[in-house]
Amino acid sequence: MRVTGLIAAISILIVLFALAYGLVVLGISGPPAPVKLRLLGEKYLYYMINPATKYFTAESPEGVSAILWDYRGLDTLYETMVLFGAIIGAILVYREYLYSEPRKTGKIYGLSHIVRTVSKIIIWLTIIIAVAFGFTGQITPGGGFIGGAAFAVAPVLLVLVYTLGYARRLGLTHRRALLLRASFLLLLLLVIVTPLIAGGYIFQNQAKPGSAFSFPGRFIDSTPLGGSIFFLNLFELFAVAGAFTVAFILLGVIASLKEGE
Amino acid sequence: MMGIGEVFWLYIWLIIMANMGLAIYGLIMRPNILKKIACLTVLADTSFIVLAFIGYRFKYPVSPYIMTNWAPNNATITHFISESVDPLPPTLTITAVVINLSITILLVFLAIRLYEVYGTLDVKKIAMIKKELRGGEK
Amino acid sequence: MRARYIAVWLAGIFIYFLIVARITLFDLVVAPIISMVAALIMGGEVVKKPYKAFSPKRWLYGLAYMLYYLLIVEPTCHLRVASMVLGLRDYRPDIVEVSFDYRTDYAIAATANSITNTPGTIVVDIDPRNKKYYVHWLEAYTRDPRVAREKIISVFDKWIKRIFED
Repeated sequence: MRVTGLIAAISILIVLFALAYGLVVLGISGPPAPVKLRLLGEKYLYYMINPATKYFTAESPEGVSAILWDYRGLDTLYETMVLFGAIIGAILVYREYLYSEPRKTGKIYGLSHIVRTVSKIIIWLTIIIAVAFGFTGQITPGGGFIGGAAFAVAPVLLVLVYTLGYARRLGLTHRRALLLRASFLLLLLLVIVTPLIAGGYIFQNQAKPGSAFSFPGRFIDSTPLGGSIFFLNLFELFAVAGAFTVAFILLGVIASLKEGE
Repeated sequence: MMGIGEVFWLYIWLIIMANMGLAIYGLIMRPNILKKIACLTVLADTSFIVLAFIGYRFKYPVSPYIMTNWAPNNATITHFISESVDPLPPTLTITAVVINLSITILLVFLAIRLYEVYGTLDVKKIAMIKKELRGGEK
Repeated sequence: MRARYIAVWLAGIFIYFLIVARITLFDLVVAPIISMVAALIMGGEVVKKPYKAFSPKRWLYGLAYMLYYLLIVEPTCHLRVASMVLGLRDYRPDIVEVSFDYRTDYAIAATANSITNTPGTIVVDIDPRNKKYYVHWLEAYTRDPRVAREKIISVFDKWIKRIFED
């Protein structure tokens, strides 16, 4: 036992040393302490909101959203699929519990009075901030993925601090969350195929050579909308939030059932 | 002679490597599955820090990858590029954070199932129980 | 009932502008929608009596209490605990019962957080039915809940009541 542990530790150290040597001394990821931008990052920054290059602009002043939903849009779509595959897998393991009522035990479940009172405000603020991430993902940091993950904190707090019954009374049931997830994923796919229907390319945002179709790049007061980026961020937010909410409600159901045993 | 940037860079790398080493060690050597999952998340979070440091620039006026000027011309874009950090590593991080979260949820659900079946989360005990079960069948 | 949701909705719009620190037409259109999502989920729970939330007198009292708490109560408690650490002052740690007479949840939570945030006292548990905090106190020379209340809560009492009660 002790010898295997030692061997494992030494081999891990050797691997990490090789990795560090390669990254820092050999400079696999660029020079150590980089001062200049890499060419790819520079190109993305140059094109992301450039009125001079009409066919390359994404109309989004936020670099990450522009890359995520415009330049590397299909990658993000498949990453979304990985995310939902994992969530569906998690739900499949325990799907029989999804439709069973949480057992009512005589025990007091949930945290103390003070924590409940403070959590009310925190959950409310979390939801505001999470949804704001999704709505303003094209001009400030955030976006659909992060907004959805932040939104998922709300059901976690609801199930942990209060009971599952409280979450249900607020209208946060797994059926609604599944509906939310499915409907917003459909809307997301609709945004992706809309240019195809209009005679353009799939995942097209702004006008490209050979297809004049473009999503609205600016709001009425010339605030950048990023075309499809705004809609994709928004729908991704609610889809991710719904998926995580289902998973956490299911965890709460399992916990309440196990507590009764 | 190394500048302050290189020294800082090396120091951060040492800390990141130590963190990664601990995480991988826990992932391999700890028998409890919950601890393995925790080590996996530590490893993932460390790799996000690696990405953040790969994207950073060691110069003084350094700004995030967000254009504050919404009607830019060529001069403002050039100025923006001269200050901004690389937007690509944060992009990788953003999706990785969420996928890491969803995979952690999947692993937790599987761990609960495993506990339901075997009554323990210790992989060594689970292996012993499996061996006994196989022996019983013969 | 509907007034609660509207109060939470308006407060949410204010919070949104506090976060983004920018007023454009886009924000003015988007903020009510964002705030509505949060109000639809949590609106019925955050506020119980909406007319209280729109009283400027309460806001001013809240602001004044914040200044009083941070500038006077906190430093004096810090000094007291620091002198205990240095051995200049005697101490007797114990957990005591402290009674309170608040009716609203927010007053109870605000007092508990005020007690916990000052060094030397920590609310360990709460018994809302018998109206008692269980406080870990560094100067527990008494076990009488009323005397303990005089010593611990009376500093915050009138402020909290003006902000959240009456």
